[in-house]
Formats: sequence, structure tokens, C-alpha cells
Amino acid sequence: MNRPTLLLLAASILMAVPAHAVQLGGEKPGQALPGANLKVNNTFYYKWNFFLDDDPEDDLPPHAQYHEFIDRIRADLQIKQFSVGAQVDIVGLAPGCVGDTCGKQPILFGEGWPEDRPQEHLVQLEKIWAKYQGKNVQIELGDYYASFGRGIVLAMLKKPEIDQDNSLLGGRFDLLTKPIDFTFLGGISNPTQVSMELRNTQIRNDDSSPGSLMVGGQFRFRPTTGLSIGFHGVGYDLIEDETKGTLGATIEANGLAQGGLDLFLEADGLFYKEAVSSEGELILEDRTGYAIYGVMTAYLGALTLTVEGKRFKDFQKLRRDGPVVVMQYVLPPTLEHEPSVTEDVNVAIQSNDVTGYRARGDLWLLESDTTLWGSVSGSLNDESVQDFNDEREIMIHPQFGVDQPIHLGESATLHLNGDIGYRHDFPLHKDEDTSNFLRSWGLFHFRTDIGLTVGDHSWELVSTYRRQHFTTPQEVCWTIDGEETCSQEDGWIAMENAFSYTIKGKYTFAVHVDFTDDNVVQNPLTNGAIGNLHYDTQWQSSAYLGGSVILKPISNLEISIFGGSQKAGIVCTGGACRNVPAFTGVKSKVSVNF
Amino acid sequence: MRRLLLALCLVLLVPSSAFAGEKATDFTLKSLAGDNVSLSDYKGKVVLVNFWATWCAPCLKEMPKLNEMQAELGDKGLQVISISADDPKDLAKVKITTKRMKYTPVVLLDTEAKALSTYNPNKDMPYTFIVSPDGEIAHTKKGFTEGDETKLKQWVEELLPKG
Repeated sequence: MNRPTLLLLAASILMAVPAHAVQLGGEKPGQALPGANLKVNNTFYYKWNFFLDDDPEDDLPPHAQYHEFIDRIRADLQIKQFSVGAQVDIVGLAPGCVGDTCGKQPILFGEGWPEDRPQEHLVQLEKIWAKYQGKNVQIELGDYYASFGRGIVLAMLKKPEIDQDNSLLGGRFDLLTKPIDFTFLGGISNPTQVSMELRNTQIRNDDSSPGSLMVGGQFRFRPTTGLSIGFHGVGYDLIEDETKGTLGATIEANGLAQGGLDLFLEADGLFYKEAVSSEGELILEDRTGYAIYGVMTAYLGALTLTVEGKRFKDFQKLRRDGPVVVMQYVLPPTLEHEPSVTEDVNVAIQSNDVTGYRARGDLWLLESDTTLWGSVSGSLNDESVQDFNDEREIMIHPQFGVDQPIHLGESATLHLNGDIGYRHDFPLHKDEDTSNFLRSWGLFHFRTDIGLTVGDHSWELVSTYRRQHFTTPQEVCWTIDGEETCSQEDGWIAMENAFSYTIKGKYTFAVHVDFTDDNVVQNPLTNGAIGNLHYDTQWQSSAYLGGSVILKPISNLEISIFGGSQKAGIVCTGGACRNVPAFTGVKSKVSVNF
Repeated sequence: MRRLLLALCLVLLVPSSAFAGEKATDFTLKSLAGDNVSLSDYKGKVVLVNFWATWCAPCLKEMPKLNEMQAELGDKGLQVISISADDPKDLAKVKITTKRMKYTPVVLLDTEAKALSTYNPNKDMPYTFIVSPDGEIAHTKKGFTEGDETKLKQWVEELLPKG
């Protein structure tokens, strides 16, 4: 390691030491800054990346190992209703050594990936903010989050499931009163990362494509108790040619039918331009799209019944391409059970012509403290050869689940939780030539979570299993270990199992055993961009064994250490997906609240 | 650069008291019924604020315990506020979850991470803090395992008016 890298590493470790808070004063006489608090959260990540030899029989050596550290500091100074703060990331890399042989200095990707700029370390200001939070008036400058309605027209939020922290950098004003609310906001999208599994620079927009400038407003009024009516509008990409805009309204009624019924309805229009070819030239033509979403929840004693429905037509334009992952300005209701459909493009969610529903019933049996639930979702995806899909289809997805705590005495509890489901996509062959398209698609999944607590000791086993199957129009042949196999049947299996033991809620020891033979998970195309994907070249089945320790000795401190292998995968939420890296080696995280 | 890092280290290592003991910063969020509700609306009470989400299994195990605590200690001056960190697209699930377990504490929606970014920026779930009647944060707690409710109840009872 060179001197600057060592310095950064030392500084980061120092900052991860569980120090104490900085209290600048209470509301007591004689103190310099009454009512002021400085909150600091420091999270330090260290990863020692091993690279195993994926094919010992070839002459190619494995990648050189390397060390990686990232420190994230978040400081927030609060003085009564005012606060100012910032989030800074410090990133550094150093080559690993085996005996006397060390690898080359690894490259830190710079902004504008993949045109990397070799760097050994980086200090980056990620977020900055100033806020006034009054009871009726709130003003935010710098980075802030925003959403309107049910996230169909605007949802610039932190999305840990896909490791995106999408804030708007600009200003926002909120007026909150009993009969009316008013919001006005404007800013440029500022996507960064949440967990630091990937380095921030990789999801930033490149220099030639700055963030999207958005301006929007929302007005809501409550004419009577339980009834809320709202209107909203947003303009997107306002500094670019293809400016877009939405206008919409919401109506929410709670406590109808003597408190037994709630209703919500949202309708939005999208106005955008699309490039079309006219006499050999590309011209921009005006287009419109729309989205309608509604939900009804009825409370019938022990039974809670919910029905959701949506109709989206040419509405999924509210996104922009990024260097690694698409950034969506929105996060609309999917009507899907997302954990069961990861590692799949999930066409019923991403579509410019989709109609769907979901009905769900939850039954709570008071006597036995049992919760039973069942849901059926269905969608008609009528888009073909467009932005997202190459096949029209109908999707049906029934699911069932149970939750049962069992009390085994005064200090012992057994908790059983699980669900099972099967989704099938039926292709609709209309006029198109569908010879290249998949014929059918199915996903079976189940999950169990068994927890046992005896006094201060807890054990938990969480297992998930997913099996996808599809039939191809023609036979597909492939060769593994010199043996050729041909079939029309294909698919994959993915399993994740974690067994953990926790003492006093503070110290957790876990073993993880994962498996997959999914060629999407093991896709080599992501190699180098997101981490150590060395299992992928032959689409071989792979088991991943790892162990972790999580320590929370005091409420302000969390230390976690992981060793072993971790499965890569595509994680999707709300129709936006991204790869998470596979990893072999040791990684640690220290998080401190001051 | 070195000076900056040195300055940061010095600032962060200044010894003082812990996170607990701070004045709680006020926030205003929407309730399930669509009304604006502020933390300061419960001034003078012991307020247990709990961040949760429908996708968080430990949260769903903790909520029945908080429901029991509200029923038992509500008359003595406790108010439990459960702040859902679910995305706006999942608000239907929030209603299902709270209604099916007959959840009586106040449920607020933080779809724009307003309280989250102040109190729980890492979005740890569940996350709980307890505010004393004079508005100070008395205790904080991350995560939930069965049995933790005993500690939470003890913390609350220590803050409630005696007699």
C-alpha cells in the first residue's frame, strides 16, 4: 500500500472507533448553543477480495487479490427545527500480496464508467442538505426525497433493495395544515449508493449526461374527515430535448361503511415526445400515456380483504439509462410479490401496455394467534416488441402463507412463518411471428422461516427455494464437460439458506449456504464491473458457503464480519433491477452512531 | 487532504454523551387516515417511536408486543407511534398488516423518509427510540428478538409518572 492509501485506511479505522456523541448543549442556561445536537454516523467497510482459480486446468492464473475499503460519514447538526448535514464517502484500493508477490494497484472506476480513470483513492461528497422542519411549514435545500401519490409519477427515494439512493438536489417547500397540504419542489436527480457493496461512481451519470431536472407540485385538501383529494404535476428532463410531464389526481376515502372500508384511486396522464422517422428524418412527435391504479380494503371481522387493480398504457417512460443500471423516477405498485420474482426480468411489471389485479385475504384467528393469507394476482401484458417485451402474455400467480407463533412457556417461543406460490406466464400468440419467443414460463417458490427463542437465546432458520422452468420453441443444445445435451426444456434453481444463533439480541452468528445453476445469476457480462464473478464461465452449478458474525454490544455500534462466498444475483424491486456482486473473501463493516 | 482527514478525526473523537439524551426533533407525517400528525402532538407523554416495514419479519414479530404495551400502559401516559418505512407503492400492504392484527397504536407513513433521514438514515428495521415526557430521547434500540419487549417495557415504565 502506498502512503496516501495507508493514511486513508488509518483515518477510516480511527473514525470507526466507537467514540461518543458531540452534544453542543441542551436547553439549559449558560450553554453556548442551546438545543443543538451533532449526530454523526460513520460506517467503515473493508473487503479482502480473493479470486479463486475458476479453471485450474487452464494456464490462466486467477485474478490478483486486492483490498478495498470504504468509509461513509454522515453528519447532521440540528438546532431546534433547523438542521444541516452532509454525507461523504472515502474509497480506497490496495493490491493484495501472496508471499513476496503482490498484484498491481487495482483501478478505482471514475465517473463516466466504463471509461475508468485509474485512481487509488477517492473522496466524494455524496449528499448535502439544510432543512427547516416546522409544524406547518417545511423547507428543504440540497438533497431530499420526494414522492407523490402511490409513486406512479414520482418516487425519488432510497431503495436499499436495489442499492440506489435517489435523491433530488434542489429545493422543496411544504405547507401542512389540517384542511390542505401544498408541496412545491425542483431539483436534479442525484443517484448514489446505499450499501457500498458497489462503489458509488458506477451508478453516477457520466459527464455527458447530467441528472434529470425535475419540477413538480402537489395540492391536497380534506373536505371532511377521512376524505382526501389531491392533484399533482411533474416535469422531467427539463434541460433536455425529450422533456416529459405528468398531471394526475388522487382520491382517498377512509372509514366508509361504518369504518369497514377504505378506498384509494389515482389517475395520471403522461405527455412526452417520441422520435419517429418521417421522410428519412427523425422528428419528435407528441405522445400521451396514462396510468390508473385503485385499491379497496375491507375489514370483515377477522378477515381483511384487499383488491388492487391497475391499467398502465405507455407510461413507463419515466426513467433514464445509466452506466450500469436504469434509474427510474418512479416506483409504481407492481401487484407482485417481489421477493419471489427476483432474478427475472418480470415482464408483467415492466410493460407499456399492462392491465392487472391482485386480490388478497388475511385471516387472523385470535384464539390460536394464527394468520393465514392467500392472494391471486393476474396481469395481461399486451405489449410486444416494444421497450420491454417481445411477447404478449397472461400471468397468473397464486400464493398462500401462514404465520404461527407458539408459546412454549413463559420465556420460550417457537415462531413459524412461510409461504408458497407458483407463477405461470401464458404466451398469447396473436399476429406476430413468435417463433423466437419463449413458449411458456413458470416459477415455483417457497420460503420458510422457523425461529425458536428460549430466554436470551434465539435460533432462526430461513430458507428460500425457487425453480424457474420454461419451454423454448426449438431445441437448444449445449456442451458441458464434453457432453452435448439438447432439449426444449430449460430453467434454473436457486436456494438460499441461513441458520443463525443470537444471544441477548446483541451477538449473532450465522452460516449461509446458497446454491444456483442460474446462468443469469452467473452472467459473465458483469465481470469486472460489479465484483468478483468467477464462477460463471461455463454456467456451472455453484454452491456458496459463508459465515458471518454480527455484534451489537451497545446500541450505537454494529460490527459485522463475513467470510466465504456470496452468490451474485439480480435484485428487482418495483420493476427496476440491478446486479449485486458475487464475492469470495472476507468483508467487514463497522457502523457507529455518535 | 491530510489536514481535512485530521480535522474529521478530531471532530469525531470528541468525548461526550451518547445519542440518547438529545432533544427529540419534531416531525410531521401522514397518518393512515391522511391527517398530519406531529411528534409534538404528544408532548408530555412517554412516546415510543418504532420504525417498521411490511417486508421486515422481525418488525412483524415486534408489533403485537407493542400493541399489548399500548393497551396496558396507554392510560398511564404511553403513546406508541409506529412509522412505516414502506414505499408508497406498498401502502396497501401497510393497511392490511395493521388492520389484520387490530393494531391500536398510531401508524404514520414516512414515504419520503422525512423522519427516517433524521432518526434512522441507514433504514435499519426495526428501530425504536423512546422519548421522555420532557422531550428527550431516553433510549434507542435496533432490531428485535423475542424477549426484547421486556426491556422496552422496563424502559417505558421508568419514564412514566409514578403512582
